[in-house]
Amino acid sequence: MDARAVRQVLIDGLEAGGFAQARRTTFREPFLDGTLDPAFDDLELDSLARMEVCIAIEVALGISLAPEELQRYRSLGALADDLLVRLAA
Amino acid sequence: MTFAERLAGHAQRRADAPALVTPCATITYGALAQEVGSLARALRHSGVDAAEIVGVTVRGEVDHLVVTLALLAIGTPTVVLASREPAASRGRLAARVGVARVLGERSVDSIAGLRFLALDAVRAGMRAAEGEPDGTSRDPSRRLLYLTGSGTTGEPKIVAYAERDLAKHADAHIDYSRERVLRPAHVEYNNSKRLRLYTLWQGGTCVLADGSTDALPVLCARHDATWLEVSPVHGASLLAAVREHGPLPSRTRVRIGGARAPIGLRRALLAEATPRLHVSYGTTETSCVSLAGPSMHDARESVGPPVAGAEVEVLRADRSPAAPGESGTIRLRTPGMATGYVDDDDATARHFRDGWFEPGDLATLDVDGQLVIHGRADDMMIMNGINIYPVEIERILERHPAVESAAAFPLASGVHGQIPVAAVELRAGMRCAGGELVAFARDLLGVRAPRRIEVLAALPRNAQGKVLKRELVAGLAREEG
Repeated sequence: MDARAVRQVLIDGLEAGGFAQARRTTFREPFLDGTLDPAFDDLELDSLARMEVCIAIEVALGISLAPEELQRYRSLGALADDLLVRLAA
Repeated sequence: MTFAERLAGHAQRRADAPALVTPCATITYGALAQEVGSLARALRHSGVDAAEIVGVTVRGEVDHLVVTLALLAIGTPTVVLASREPAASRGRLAARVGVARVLGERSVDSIAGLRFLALDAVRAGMRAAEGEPDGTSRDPSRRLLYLTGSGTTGEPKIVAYAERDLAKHADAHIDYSRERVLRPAHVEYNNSKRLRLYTLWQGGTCVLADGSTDALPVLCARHDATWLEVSPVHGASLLAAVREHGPLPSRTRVRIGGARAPIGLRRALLAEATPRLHVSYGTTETSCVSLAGPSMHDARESVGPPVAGAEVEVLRADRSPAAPGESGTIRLRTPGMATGYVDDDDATARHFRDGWFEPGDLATLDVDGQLVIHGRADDMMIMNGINIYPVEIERILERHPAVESAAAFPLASGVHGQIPVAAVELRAGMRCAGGELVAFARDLLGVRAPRRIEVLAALPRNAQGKVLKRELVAGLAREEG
């Protein structure tokens, strides 16, 4: 699985969690191609969105993450990078 | 009263009435009673007695019924060792029940370590056995018929019924005493066998497909079937057949049972096959519990009000009675119901409590008295504290125009508990990606939507048409692994 596919999983999770920006091409496309890396704090995700991101990761990648663990990551891109590393391990 | 006595009564009063109708023969009650009596004497002549349990592997529909009735007549307990099952599986079932002898048609029907009796050899001894006494009256409360459940939740559970119990089931069933009942499923299946016995108990006519490959509308018309009894899988085949051969004869009523009958299937059958559609709910342990008539098919997928004699209660988690419309676990009490399982004390303790049978199904009894089944309680998923019922997901997915049928099941998660996922089978010629279905379900179910949907060529099912969710879970686990 490549970086874009991993980022798509995060977009899917955000969409499922009702994070409206994830549907917008101005957010979606730059994030998918790696030119946008929003900080978690700036996203202001609610608990449902955090839960859906974690569920999407577990269902698609088989990696278990608790919603509170997302706080360890500075940005959405950092999370995607760490997931890629864990998949390659 | 025993089956032999009941059969003799029909033969005396209505000797020329048809008992069994096959594609090539009609057997009257007079002839059937005579055949059963002759075979019973020959079986006893061959050394079969009431002290042993006989496993039956007989493929022919008529032969199977005659053998069963003859063994009942001599008071010998029986269990079907179905010809479709591999020898190892038949051997396991025989050991669990305590079978001493196998009565079969071919040498491959034998089981290592058990005596084997060929049906042909018994028949060859019929003449020698003529003139022997018919036997003495017996205790109709002795358990003679061992039946296996579908086994969709593990190794099949086994119940045993006395003739007295079967008589109560038959008396509480739809009145078939003047009906011609076609049930295409083979007699070796538990429910098919019981229904045939109920029909004969009542004095009705069993129409037997007996290997015929003719389409169901053709069979119904040719044999003037007044009832057609099918599983939901046969219901889907029926729909395909009526599209090719036209609707069922106007006299033919249809009853679907044995598994969930989706509203899409019901509506299609009502529109294209027959306006006289019934859907029933029952269990191996209780026989028929409820019956939905033609005017009762709506989005709730009701299985109708309880039939006369059946008691139904819905309980909350604290075992207090649920209010009308409130979901809970169901418990059932019917005349002649089983009181426990053979060789499974744990399952008996779990499912038989205080004189009730608790199948583990979730249900509501609505204010209008209709029973709605929501699936098995142990199928309920809990994700982050949210209760999610598979049937709720399945009903939504089956609203999608491309989906023929759906099965929802959990993906185990150390963090979230159980994440709902699903598999679907599409309608012929339709295409749809799993992602589109996930979005469709999310719009209608929100947080209770499946997070992943696999599109399969066909859902794995057992012979009765029940989806084997364990196989879906195992398939997903293999993929994850």
